[in-house]
Amino acid sequence: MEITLNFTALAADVKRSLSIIGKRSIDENGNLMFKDITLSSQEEPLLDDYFQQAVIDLTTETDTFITASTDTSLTLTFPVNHNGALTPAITKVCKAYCVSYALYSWFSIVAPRLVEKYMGDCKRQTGALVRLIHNKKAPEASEHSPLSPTTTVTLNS
Amino acid sequence: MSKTITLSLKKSLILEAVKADTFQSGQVDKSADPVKNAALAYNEQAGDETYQERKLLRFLRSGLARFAAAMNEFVDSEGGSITYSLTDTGDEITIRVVVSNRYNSGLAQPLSSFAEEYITYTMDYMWWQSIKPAFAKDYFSYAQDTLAQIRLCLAKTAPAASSSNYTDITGTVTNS
Repeated sequence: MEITLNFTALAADVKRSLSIIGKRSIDENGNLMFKDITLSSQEEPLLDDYFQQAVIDLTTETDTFITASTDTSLTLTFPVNHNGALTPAITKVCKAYCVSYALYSWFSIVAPRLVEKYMGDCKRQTGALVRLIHNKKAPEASEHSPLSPTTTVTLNS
Repeated sequence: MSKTITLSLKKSLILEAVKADTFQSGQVDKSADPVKNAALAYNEQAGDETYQERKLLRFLRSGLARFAAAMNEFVDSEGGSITYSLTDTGDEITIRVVVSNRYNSGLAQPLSSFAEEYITYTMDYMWWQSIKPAFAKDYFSYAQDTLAQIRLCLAKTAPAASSSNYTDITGTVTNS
């Protein structure tokens, strides 16, 4: 499976979260933190740096299964008995991790009291990713019944 | 005179049994701590990865060879033999043991079951030996126990009665 990480779309997700959180956060003096929390246009390229770091993390977590990669995509190849129903969740959790990692990194600078929540998200998402990729379905049944072994004895002349 | 015991086993059943045994162990470990043990369980569960499939075939080959070696003591001393077939493509494993004609064939039926069990446990033992040696010891004991059952099934019948009667024994005295 190929996971493509569109940095522009991920940046839009991060900015949307920042504007919502910014509108609802106040500092210890009661002032609205919108300006501190949202990114200025000069600061926006920082997100690409965060995403690149996040891709490195994802590459590390999935190293056993990676068969190709670029700056913005990972190709994972699983053995035949991997549960294919999990692949949409794998893509989603990789994207979610990029967003969480960017928020975590940005809040480390501008709003340290929000860091814990996003650090927890990052940890949970990498844990979920490791679980989703390290999956084997139960072994497939042989076409023969377990009761099929037989013994015969013949007298040799 | 000798007898040939033919055991007919299926490669796919033995491989499935080893995969099922290790799959269950992995699931138990995963249930103890799903996040921490996910990769551990994955690596404990035999099969699917190409290198693991090849490893299992190597273990199957060795398990079968060990079974044949263990049968050595029962092979007919005159012209006895143990042969077995194991191929990449075929599913059939046929083991032929040529034993004395005094072999009690009334005990034949359990042999194929025990042979499969012995090979499976031996493979389980080899699998865990390379991952969790503590588990391997249990499977080694199971394999030895199965071998003891196999020995019980390889009994000899009493010697056949002579075609002459004791009363047929005669003595003659000849004066010279």
